[in-house]
Amino acid sequence: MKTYSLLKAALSQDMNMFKYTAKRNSSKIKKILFPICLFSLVCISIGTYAYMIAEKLSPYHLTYIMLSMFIMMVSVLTFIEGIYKSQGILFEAKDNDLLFSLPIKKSQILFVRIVKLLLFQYIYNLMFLLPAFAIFIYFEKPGIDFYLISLLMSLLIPMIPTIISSVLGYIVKLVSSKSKSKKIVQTLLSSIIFLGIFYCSLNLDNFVQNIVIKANSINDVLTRIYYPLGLYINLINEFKLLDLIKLLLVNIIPFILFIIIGAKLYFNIIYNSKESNVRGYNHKHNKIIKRKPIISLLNKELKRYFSSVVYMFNTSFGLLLSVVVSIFLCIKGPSIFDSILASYNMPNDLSISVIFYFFILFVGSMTSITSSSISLEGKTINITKSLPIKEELILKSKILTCYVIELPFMIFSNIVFFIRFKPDFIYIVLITILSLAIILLSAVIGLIANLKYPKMNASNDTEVVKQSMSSMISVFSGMGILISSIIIIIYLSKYISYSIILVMHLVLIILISLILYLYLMKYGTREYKKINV
Amino acid sequence: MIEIKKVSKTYNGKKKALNNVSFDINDGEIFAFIGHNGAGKTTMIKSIVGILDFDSGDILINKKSIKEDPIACKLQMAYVPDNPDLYENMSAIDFINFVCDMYDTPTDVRKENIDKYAKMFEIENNLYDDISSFSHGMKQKVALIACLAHNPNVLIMDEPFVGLDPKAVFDMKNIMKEMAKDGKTIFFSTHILDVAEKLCDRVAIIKNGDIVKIGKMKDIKKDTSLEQVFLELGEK
Repeated sequence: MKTYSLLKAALSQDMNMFKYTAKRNSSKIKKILFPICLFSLVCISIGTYAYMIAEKLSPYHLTYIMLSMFIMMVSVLTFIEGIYKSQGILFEAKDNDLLFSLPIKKSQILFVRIVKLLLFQYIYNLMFLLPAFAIFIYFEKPGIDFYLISLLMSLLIPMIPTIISSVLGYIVKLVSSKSKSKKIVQTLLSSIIFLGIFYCSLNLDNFVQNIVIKANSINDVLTRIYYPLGLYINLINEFKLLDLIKLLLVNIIPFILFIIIGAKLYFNIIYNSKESNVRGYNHKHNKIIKRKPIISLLNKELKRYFSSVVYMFNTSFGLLLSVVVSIFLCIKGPSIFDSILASYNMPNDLSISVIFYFFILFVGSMTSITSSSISLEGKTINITKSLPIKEELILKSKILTCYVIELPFMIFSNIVFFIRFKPDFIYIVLITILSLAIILLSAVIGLIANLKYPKMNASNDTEVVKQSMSSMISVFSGMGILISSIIIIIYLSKYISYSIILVMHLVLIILISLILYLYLMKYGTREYKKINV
Repeated sequence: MIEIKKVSKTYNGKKKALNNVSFDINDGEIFAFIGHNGAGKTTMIKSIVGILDFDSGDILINKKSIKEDPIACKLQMAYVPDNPDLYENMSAIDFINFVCDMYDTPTDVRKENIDKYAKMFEIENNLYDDISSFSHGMKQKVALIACLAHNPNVLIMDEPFVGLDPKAVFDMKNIMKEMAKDGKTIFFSTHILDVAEKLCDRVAIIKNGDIVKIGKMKDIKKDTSLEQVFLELGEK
């Protein structure tokens, strides 16, 4: 009963992001419709991709391979997402003091928080799994047992990846909690894990090849890659009770063990991981300096950004990737792009200058710092709103923050590329302007999304950064810009030369950015004023 | 001077938080705003300082409308919120400096004021520590120093004494008296009726969004205490 009440309290707060039905006026309907349209668009795109794969596999009765691919992809995504989320959801909740003072077991608190992690993963996963299941049903017309087993599998899929990422989160927090500079250690450890995953993904081909050589059948390959997946495929091909029991146990036992063992360390980690800098009298130094309001606001934004590990990591994926790719580019040359193109099934006859243009577009459009920056103000927004400054200035400072954080990474990548490939002057100007424009575009989209869907009462940063409507919309908008740009550019290249298309594309990006910027400055400021916490 | 003219505010089109509220607060006056939880005190204060839009009416700060010219109004004011939710990742000195930057306060003025009030509130040794390491009372002191550091003409405070130690309450009361003597306007909400009774020139009692009593302290309490008046009005 206590666990139920805890769950209800925790989830009712989280589910507010879907509550737009209380009062049906036009703006609220728009607020519901937009995410639904976006969700449908992603589902249709993924469904098309799944259809293209299934179409080729179906004549050989191998459609289940398509399903396996999607389940694997979802599991890997859950694992990576979990590394970001677990540290925030499990350890940095604002209601720690309240919950630990109540007469409830630590394991119950941990259980509720793990369920919170799982619940949002179900929503994300649905976007990938729903179209994949639909396409499988379309081609194979399976019996009722497929529906039941797949429903069960959908519930089980995020369990193991979430537990593994939570264990990693535990280790990071446990180690960092014993250090004096907790946030620095946490950031370093998280970076090491991130780079480890990146290194593993680059060596994935060798790993799969090794398994294929040793395996007897495709099912055997899948089982060796990911055991629960093999069991699921066995079950949908031929139902065996033993396989079903194995599937349940292999997912549920680690979950229960984690709750039991994790609860023993939970309290200590939480209270040892709090970090506050107490510098004391001896460290007194003269810091009373007058600055311009925009500089002061920028400074505030940067301090907020660097104070949250989850915020930093969530938004720096593309930026870190740009540094890694630039270094690889120096060492290995353009071959690094061949493997990236192959993994996205893109034509590899593109020139290096076009590929690098796409790469900068990717880094910029996938980095959305501003999609959380208003929500993360929380109740402190009242301080900012009470100050004698225009709302435009506050929004400008948030855009400027993106430039301060992203531009050094972009400049580094650009310089490495320019030195290594010595492009002509026009291309250098093109890439430099693209870097500046795409930062503005993603910053403005992020702010508009955050103003439309603010989440001001989140119990931790992770809920804002990873689980808010605005961050989801920004990510999908970035994806949309990237994918549509690539498709249009490649399609038009049949008729016009790349140099002209890239210039046209850049002009379009600049125009859209400026239009959205003007929209933000006119209507966004009104939305900002309306936020009431 | 603060002029509140027929201000109304409704939440979600249903709950009426302020109902045609009108009153003035003069220069050099200390004015207390009293009411039960949920009576509309914080809504009124948030409307005055320009962080909450109201449905109708107007609020003038030294003859300037908060709706028409919010920046000019805010430049005159300082606001202490009901909960000291400050920027936790900043040090106290960084936060105070940030607020002063927004008011364009000259360096020598802020240095002098920070020094004066930090010593008065006994947090001069904690100014360089992160706000996240502070207790509720210390955060409240930082919020107060940030407000006082830029020499505001109008001071608006929502429950300013909550969390403060007795010495800080005493010092704060003296600061308020000094400011009023200099012709500045002070408006605050409180549940501590004893403080309101001893400190204020005038008081307003709000109930369910309506001002049910307003006037000079001696006229309101007559032969009884402010507490008694407040309780009687609450029962009606």
